[in-house]
Amino acid sequence: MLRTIVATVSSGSNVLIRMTALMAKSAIRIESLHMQRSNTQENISRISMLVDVENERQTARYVNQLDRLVDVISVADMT
Amino acid sequence: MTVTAKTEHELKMNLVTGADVLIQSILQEGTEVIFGYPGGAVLPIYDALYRQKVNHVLTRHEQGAIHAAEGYARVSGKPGVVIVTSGPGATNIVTGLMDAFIDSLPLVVFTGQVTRAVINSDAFQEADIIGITASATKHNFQVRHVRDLSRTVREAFYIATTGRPGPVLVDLPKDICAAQLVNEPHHSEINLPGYRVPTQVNEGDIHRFAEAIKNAKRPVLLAGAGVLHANASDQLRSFAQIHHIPVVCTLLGLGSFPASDPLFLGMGGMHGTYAANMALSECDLLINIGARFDDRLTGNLAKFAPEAKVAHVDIDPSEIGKNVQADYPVVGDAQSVLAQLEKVMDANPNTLEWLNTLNGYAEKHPLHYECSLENQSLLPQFVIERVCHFAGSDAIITTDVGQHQMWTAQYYHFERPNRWVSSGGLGTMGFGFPAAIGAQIAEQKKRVVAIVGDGGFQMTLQELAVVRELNLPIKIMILNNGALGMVRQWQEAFYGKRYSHSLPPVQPDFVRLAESYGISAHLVEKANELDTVLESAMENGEPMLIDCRVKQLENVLPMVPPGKGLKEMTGV
Ligand SMILES: Cc1ncc(C[n+]2csc(CCOP(=O)(O)OP(=O)(O)O)c2C)c(N)n1
Ligand SMILES: [Mg+2]
Repeated sequence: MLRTIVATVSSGSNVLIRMTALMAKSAIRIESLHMQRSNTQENISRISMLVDVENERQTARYVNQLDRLVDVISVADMT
Repeated sequence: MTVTAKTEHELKMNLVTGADVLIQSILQEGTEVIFGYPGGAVLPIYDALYRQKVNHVLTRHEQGAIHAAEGYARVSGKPGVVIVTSGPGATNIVTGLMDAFIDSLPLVVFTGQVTRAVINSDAFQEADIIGITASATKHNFQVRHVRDLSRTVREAFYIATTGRPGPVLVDLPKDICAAQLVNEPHHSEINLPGYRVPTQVNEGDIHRFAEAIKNAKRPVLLAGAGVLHANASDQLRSFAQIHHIPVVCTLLGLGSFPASDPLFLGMGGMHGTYAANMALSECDLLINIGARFDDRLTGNLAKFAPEAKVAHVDIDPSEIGKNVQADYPVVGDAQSVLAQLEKVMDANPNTLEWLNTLNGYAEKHPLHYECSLENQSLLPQFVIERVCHFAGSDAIITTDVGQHQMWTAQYYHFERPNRWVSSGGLGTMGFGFPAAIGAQIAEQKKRVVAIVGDGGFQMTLQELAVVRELNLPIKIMILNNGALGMVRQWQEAFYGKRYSHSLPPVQPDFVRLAESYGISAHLVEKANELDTVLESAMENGEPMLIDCRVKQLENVLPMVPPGKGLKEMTGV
């Protein structure tokens, strides 16, 4: 099933490595991935992604694990 | 800061190196000891260590350094600090990082890196340690500007030690550490907008939780390492005693509740006691305090605690509901949650009948092993019982991974918190002996015993040099079955006794090996030789290795076979 996950993160590549490492771990497929620096807040970026997951539970676990990342300021399943 | 061997010019300008700032920042965090190993990329740091008064322990392998730091962290509650060089130095600590990550141990690890100008050119000893350790650290940083150095160190310590503890890695390009800068007091405010540590426990959650406990007929407390990390053993003990609730510990939760307390049912899980596993299976309320429902604890999840409502207390919100759905989720540290819970507990559950049932299980099916006194053959379980007798309840026990680890968890009676050091989540062979070094450095007055297997000891035994060098009075007990025992046991049970590569044909003479490092050693082959050796070992303040030749084909029982539920134990 397709889910849209949106996150506000600290800018930089580290956060992307960690987010994709988590995805790779549970074989979540990326349909699309977009990261953009905020033009109002310094060092803040917004990531939105469309991912293909097995079920709600997997989404919840992924979102929780993203939320735990030090560089993730907020994250939500916006589907 | 004391700085020596500087040119006049440098002194006049009050110049220091990035490495000096680094060491200063590390010391500002209260660091007492650094475990490390030098190399090209960290030469500026080691030069700063030469100038400054720092207690640095040179291990003989980077893996030894990080496991020692883990042992230090586990018993002291303080972060273990490690410095290693780039490339192979950095990759050598990956196992330790993963081990600390999965067992929630606070570490701050500094890795050297090639100079910024040549990063990503496959330079000599370059490794992408940030990428490599992304899934093995709570967080990692690469310092890209000298001005970020002290702030990054503060942030690293802060992240490692707050919330759910974990390892943090800081990668340091060589030119950052070599850079010269004016030594001025730096104000380095932590700036981590995405990092939140849960502080407030939700009151509504506590009230619902308390109601559930009061109404339960068959409640059981499952105590995990989270109780130890939160220093909540006292709260746990009084909570269980006041409300008459039995306690099961996870492997890493051992010591959080006194083994001698009548409410203690033992360890749960694959090699847990019958009573503990029956309590988990038959309870109507499972109160998980700081355990993460690891599969070695739960067995087959579909058959786990089938009749129970589940309350789950964890400082890490992502743990709650991860493996087992929680009916009463509570985010917070074990100490605050138990304290707040106690305030609202105005009635006790009636557990008399339940406790009787469980006592019946414990009496009917205690842990047991066959002991034949005739041939005086040495049984591993017996060795653990004797070590427990002679070492005393204040001793710190570390283990490696394998059968000896499970026998220690079963037969050693842990009465107090932070005396038990073992690799739980990752099951890292080679952990136990260097962890004992770190534990002894943290607790110099305490007796430290490393219980290791003949297999795992050979993975990190080079650290015998450190034991000699620092004259650490560690007692090394090798439960020598001449086998990769746990592997052999599984081959016996599930692979038709085809002992594929689990009976190494060549073994060192451990006694002479220890002696070659200047450490005295004893061989124990018969049960009646054990007590004399143990007694003298525990009395003297010297390091000692004891090679116990235990029965080769002994198995760890009881056991929940893989894929089975906790009720389907064999060898009860
Ligand atoms: C680094 C590592 N490699 C392999 C294993 C798999 N493994 C688990 S227990 C075990 C045997 C350990 O043998 P020994 O240290 O002699 O302990 P025993 O089980 O005999 O008590 C092995 C190989 C592991 N846990 N860790
Ligand atoms: Mg062995």
